[in-house]
Amino acid sequence: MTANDKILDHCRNLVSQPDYRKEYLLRIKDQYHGLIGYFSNYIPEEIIAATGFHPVRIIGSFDTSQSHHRTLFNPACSFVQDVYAVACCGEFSLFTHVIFPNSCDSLKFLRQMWESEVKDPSAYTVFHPINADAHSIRYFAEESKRFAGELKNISGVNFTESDLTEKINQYNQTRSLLRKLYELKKEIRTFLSGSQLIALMTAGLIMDRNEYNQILEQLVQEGTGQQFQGDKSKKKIMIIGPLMDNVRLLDQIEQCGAIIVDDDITNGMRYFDLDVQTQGDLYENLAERYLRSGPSPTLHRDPQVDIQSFRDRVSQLDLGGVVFVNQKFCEPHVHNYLSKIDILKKLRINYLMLEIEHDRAALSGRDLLRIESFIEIAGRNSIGVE
Amino acid sequence: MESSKTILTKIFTDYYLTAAQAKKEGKPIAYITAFTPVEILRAMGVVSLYPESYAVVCAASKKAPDMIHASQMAAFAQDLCSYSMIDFGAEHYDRLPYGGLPEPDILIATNNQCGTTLLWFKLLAQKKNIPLFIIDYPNAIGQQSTMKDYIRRQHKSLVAFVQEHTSNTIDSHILTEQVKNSKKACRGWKKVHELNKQSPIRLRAEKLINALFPIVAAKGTQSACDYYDALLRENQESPQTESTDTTRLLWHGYPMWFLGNKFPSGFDTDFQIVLNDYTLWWDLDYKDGVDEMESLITAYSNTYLNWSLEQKINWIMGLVKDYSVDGVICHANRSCRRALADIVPLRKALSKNKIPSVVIESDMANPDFYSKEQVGLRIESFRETLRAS
Ligand code: SF4
Ligand code: SF4
Repeated sequence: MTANDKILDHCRNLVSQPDYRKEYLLRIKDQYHGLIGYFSNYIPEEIIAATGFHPVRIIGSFDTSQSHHRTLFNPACSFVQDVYAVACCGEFSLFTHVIFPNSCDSLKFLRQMWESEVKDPSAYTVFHPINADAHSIRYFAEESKRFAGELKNISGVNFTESDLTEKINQYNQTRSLLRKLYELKKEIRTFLSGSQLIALMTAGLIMDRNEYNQILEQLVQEGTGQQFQGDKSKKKIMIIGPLMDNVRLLDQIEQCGAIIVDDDITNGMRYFDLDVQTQGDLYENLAERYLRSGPSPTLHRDPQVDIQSFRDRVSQLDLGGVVFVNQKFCEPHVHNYLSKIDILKKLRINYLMLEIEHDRAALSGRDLLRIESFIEIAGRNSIGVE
Repeated sequence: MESSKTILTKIFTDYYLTAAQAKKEGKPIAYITAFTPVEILRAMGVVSLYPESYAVVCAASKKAPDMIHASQMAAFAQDLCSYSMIDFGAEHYDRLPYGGLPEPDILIATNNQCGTTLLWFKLLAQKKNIPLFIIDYPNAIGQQSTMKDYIRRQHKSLVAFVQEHTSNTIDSHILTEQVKNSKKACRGWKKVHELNKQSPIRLRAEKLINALFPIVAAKGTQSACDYYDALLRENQESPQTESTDTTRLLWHGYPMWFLGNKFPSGFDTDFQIVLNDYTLWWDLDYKDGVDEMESLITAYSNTYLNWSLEQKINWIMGLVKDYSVDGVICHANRSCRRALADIVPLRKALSKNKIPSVVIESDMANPDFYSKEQVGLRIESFRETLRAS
């Protein structure tokens, strides 16, 4: 096994094996004031990090069998059902707090149930705005300051502006390295498969940031100048959806004859597309970055602007097709799908909707068949690398 | 003096006639969500229509299943809120009550009830290329000046948005009048409910459901105030209860509109449903002694669905006490994630206070999720529980 294989394995295990993830977190826990779990791309991680906590993104466990089937009323989304079941078993006790966003109704559902049934670790909500205009940025800057104040109270750590700048720089470095890797991927100049890249990206939401940036630097260096070595007849596809932490499923999609060259998922491009400026008011800069980055369907901009930017993006990619991978009962992404299919139809780009259960690690035989036939008919656009 | 029935008919007719007329006269029409500060729009000469309220009309007139089916055929997932599915289905359905709602010129959505309405209106905006304005009320507010300022700025931007798309300006006298009337109508509406604190109750809860329309769609108008005054006057004296049982129940959550504004038979005939808390969601908190804009900020931030869990539970437990409630029926409405989230914590609080409760799983507008047999069984076992307690 090469050094790169080891790194990629480590990332993959962090994402897809809850026990491995937990062990890792327990190992690194003492380097910080504590671990804070959080949901969504709208929680400014830099503020958590500046207070000396380590922000850990809550992803799926894929294992509700141990949960005594504690469930929420449907239609809470499948991801939230999974998290709730695991939370009820005390699996999040390694966190000092859990931070909720002010986004979709399923997470708001979970937030209330957390308060009522889970209780420990205690939950806190960042009431971020849902628009991205100037008023919203101003308000979010204030709300972020309030959030920082709460964290300072909890930890007793009074961080300075330069501490926050340092963390912003560290997180900017991550974003910049991830952008480089994604560019290599789009140009098919990396040895990483699409699923490996998404696993790598997602592992960063869990891993110690210094360790993660070092890994990314190494992979960028090695990827630059490489030629694609896989099957050249594979169809280029884009995947769209919410948090996509089921690496096995992504493998399965690629094994059906596709290569994921771009994404619009929570743990993909939307996480790293913009940097935070370090000149001027840091809270305003954070607010601006978080609200201006590639919007999730729970953040609202001018709908016509959204349509135009999606059209521009997919037109440039020379895609064979688009696969929407949605969590069952995820309302924001069903609407996102409905808003995008008209554009894809006009552009004559094939698309497919897969609705998945969050606790099922592999695709069903029926879904596999659907993917296979989709990829077979998907465009005539093979990778075409000479 | 006009009877409440006459005023209600007028309000209803006026709403749909004005809508149809507005289109002909070229007046601007807005589709708005249930808790949009409509007072601002009226003060700007915009005719405001509520697609959610229209969905209720469709459900009550038994058209919902066909319209939902039509929307499913047009690629809509089945697990969305039925109101939005009815609205999307309307495009593919030609036997609409009142001929349907006229096309809007602008769309305004808020998140003080749910995220669904935002997604629904955004999709409408995209598909029909209609300008959309979204007002963000992040949380119920007390004294937090940051949040208040944020909402104040958004309300100002709403004025600018409407002006940009309609060329209409705001008339501050009309705004003052509207807010004054909204405040008055809410007080009247609350007083009407409070008649049922007595025993026997003065109005069956289904009558209260029938009386909801003015506070939803005509808030801010003088007729809404007149209507609730008349209703109060007419019901102050005459007890209206046909039930032989004096067990007092609270219906928590949405009614089932497809039952024709009635509760499942068994509940309303064998017990007294003294209150449906849902109808009181429209009793908004318009503050006294502050300017209109400030009053609108508190009213529209502090909606039931925007409250914290603690606020919601305290409020319902307060109703249970004030209305001498013996038991609670919780409607787990599969359409509404925001409302579903309250049921488990509420039952916990009720059980702590030794108030029995039962859950009925269904939908507010889609009868496909309603099983008469299952509900019948629940009523039976709830009857036993109530007896035992
Ligand atoms: S999967 Fe969808 S509904 Fe569930 S938490 Fe994510 S965005 Fe919300
Ligand atoms: S029923 Fe619930 S989800 Fe549907 S529009 Fe009303 S508040 Fe929103």
